[in-house]
Amino acid sequence: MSNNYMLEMNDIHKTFGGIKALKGVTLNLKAGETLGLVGENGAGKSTLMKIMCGIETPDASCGAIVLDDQELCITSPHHAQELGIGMIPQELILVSQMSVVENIFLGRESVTGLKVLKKNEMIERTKEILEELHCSYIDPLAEVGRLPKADQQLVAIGRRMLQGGNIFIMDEPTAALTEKETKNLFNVIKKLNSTGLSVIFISHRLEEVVEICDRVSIMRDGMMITTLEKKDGIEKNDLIFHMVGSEIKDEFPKVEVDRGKEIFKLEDISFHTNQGNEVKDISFSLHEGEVVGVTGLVGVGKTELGQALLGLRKIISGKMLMDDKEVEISSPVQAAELGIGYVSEDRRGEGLVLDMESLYNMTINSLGKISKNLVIQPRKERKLGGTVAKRLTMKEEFLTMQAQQLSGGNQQKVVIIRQIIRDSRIIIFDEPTKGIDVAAKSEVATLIGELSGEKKAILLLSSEPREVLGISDIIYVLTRSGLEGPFPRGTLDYESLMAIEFGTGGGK
Amino acid sequence: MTTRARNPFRGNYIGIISAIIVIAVFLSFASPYFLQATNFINIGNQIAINLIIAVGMTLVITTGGIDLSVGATVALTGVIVAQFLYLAGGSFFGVAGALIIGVGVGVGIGAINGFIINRLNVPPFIATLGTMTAFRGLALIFSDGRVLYGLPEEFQSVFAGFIGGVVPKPVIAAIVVSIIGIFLLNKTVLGRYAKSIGGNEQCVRVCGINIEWIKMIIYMIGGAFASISGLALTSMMNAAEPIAGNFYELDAIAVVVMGGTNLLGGKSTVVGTILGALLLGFVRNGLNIMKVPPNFHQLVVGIIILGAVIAGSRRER
Repeated sequence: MSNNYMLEMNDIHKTFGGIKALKGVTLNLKAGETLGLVGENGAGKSTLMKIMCGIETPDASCGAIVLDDQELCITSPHHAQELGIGMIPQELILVSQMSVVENIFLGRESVTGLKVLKKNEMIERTKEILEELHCSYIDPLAEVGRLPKADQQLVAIGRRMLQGGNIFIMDEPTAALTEKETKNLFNVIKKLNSTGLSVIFISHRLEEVVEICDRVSIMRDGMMITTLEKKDGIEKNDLIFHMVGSEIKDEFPKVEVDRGKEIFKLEDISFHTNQGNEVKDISFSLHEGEVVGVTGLVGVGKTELGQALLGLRKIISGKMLMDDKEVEISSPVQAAELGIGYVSEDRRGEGLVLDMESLYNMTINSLGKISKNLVIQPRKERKLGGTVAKRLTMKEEFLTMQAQQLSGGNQQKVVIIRQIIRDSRIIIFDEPTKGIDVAAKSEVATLIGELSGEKKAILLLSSEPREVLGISDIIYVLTRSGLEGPFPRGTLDYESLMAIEFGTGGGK
Repeated sequence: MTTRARNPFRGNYIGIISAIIVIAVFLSFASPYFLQATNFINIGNQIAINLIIAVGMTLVITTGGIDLSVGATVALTGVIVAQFLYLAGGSFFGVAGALIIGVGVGVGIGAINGFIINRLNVPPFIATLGTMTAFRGLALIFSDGRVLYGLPEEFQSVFAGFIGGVVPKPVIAAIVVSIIGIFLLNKTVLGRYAKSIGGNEQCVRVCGINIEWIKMIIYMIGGAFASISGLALTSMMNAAEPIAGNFYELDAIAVVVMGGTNLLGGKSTVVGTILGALLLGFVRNGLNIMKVPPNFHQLVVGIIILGAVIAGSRRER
């Protein structure tokens, strides 16, 4: 007997360069339902969705996907589209200079025999689609870039509807929306469901997941843990429980260090995030020998906080004090002069000069130490880089290799060595263990602890709760309503941290 | 994974060196003029004028930038220096002043380019396209659109003539400039910064390095080299023309890229630029002495440039 699933993914495996991202995941989708998909960062949600959209292929490629009782393999994004599977990514793919009509019809314009655009026909069809989405107030000729984010979202959905899909995957669709806009989006989703369309709703906002979804599938560590049914009642805490699991390995060992004097202090700092939200009144201080962890969900403004301290992002109000003296940081040059170093989340984009030798990447901001009268002394450079690299158990031969030839873990070491050579007093780490393997993770964690032991003040920005809990002395949680904390080491556990992140209240 | 040994003459020059040798051997058999001393002096002077500019262009391109205003710099330098010499005459101070002012013109233009690119955030291509036109205009204004003849003999003797009786002075100047270029790029802090900026500007910015200042200095050096070329040209011709140096920027860019420097920045080689300048010089000379009709010259040169660049980019892969 065939069950009532329109789509089944059975025992999906996916390996990236030796690391198993998916370990036999099963996911089912019914016609006309909204299925929630939750899990921590790195749990495997996006990989699974990429497979569904034909962007990635699973290890044992065929037969594991059943669509409308037919076994098949999805070979390309185009194929997925033909099958009616469409993704609405978090970063909307719209051409902001073009009108709503042009965006909705992009690539599938209606034309006459002479390839002349049938403009009126397209406008009429667009109006129909907008009507269906309860947003006939949107002018089909308006420029998309000038519309509010929520309306852009609806345009992106409209574009999918024109393509005639029956499975819509929405990745964090409410991340940039207000509460009211979210409500409207939910109405649209229910409407889509009522026409037999299925929606996969991926979100970190668990209360929204509970509200909109008929069933919720929970992933952890590359596995599908369970699927909860709304009719049995779903509580947010259940979701967190399954997302977290029970066992926490000592992936992030702590190096104990005595706290020294205060060197840096933020008072009521406010700035804008990339999404344009204002992060208000951030206050905390950094001490020698102390690791301060700031955590929070993706997109809440952690990276932006780092950028603000580095002079890469404008500070709207508030002040910063270094050694009790007020300082202004309006450029990375000033930050560097004050002894603030930065280990970027984006190693390839701003951490490394990829096609330059590792050694040169290590010394790039300390050329004064290895030069005389502005002439570089290669022996001195080699010796300095070599000594620090050896301390970090990095092989000598890596020094002459281009940065791009190194593994993620060694690349991260290169960036950290740069700050060690520079002798920065404050080091800001943004997601320091992102994209590196487990062994390298614990090495980097140990290294951060050792650096704090050298009287450095560490600011750790991380959305990886275990990392923050593992190596921070003081923890702050950045949420949409502000900075929660300080929570001294040991006063938070995983679940209470998650509860704060997801806004169910502070602590236990 | 490969480990590549550090080599200051990075890259593989076998292709371009063979091309130069093939052309030279061909010309020495095909034309009785090629191996004559006067012809070599001719080639040497031509290559020198181009190469001096191209070394500066190599530095600019290393940072991921470009400088289209170098041809106009050649002209403006000549015109200003000529006007100065009319006033100051051929005394020691007149000539020394002319040289200092001449180089100052290029440094100043470099500073203006740097300011527009860094402070006003105009992409280098557009910024220097603008200054190229504007400074060419200034050259026309300061010369009243005429050729300025009759400069003092003492100034002429700065670059005209030979050293050791055989080597033309502009060639010596080009050699000195090339050595300075190699040294700056490979041995100094400035060169390291330039390469890093060309490789990943955002990384260098985040490291807290004053990128604007470094790029400013690089454009000033590029401008100074263009001025030296302008001084040499003016001195050799004993005249300053407001339309001198037309399209020199394109020749310079062409030889830089032919030599294997990455137009996007980061990877560059002055040695390659020298070889590129030699190749282009021989080809130009060959077309002349082989009596190829002038109307064909541009076409042939264009094809040679494209061929060299395509061969180079294939080798990279």
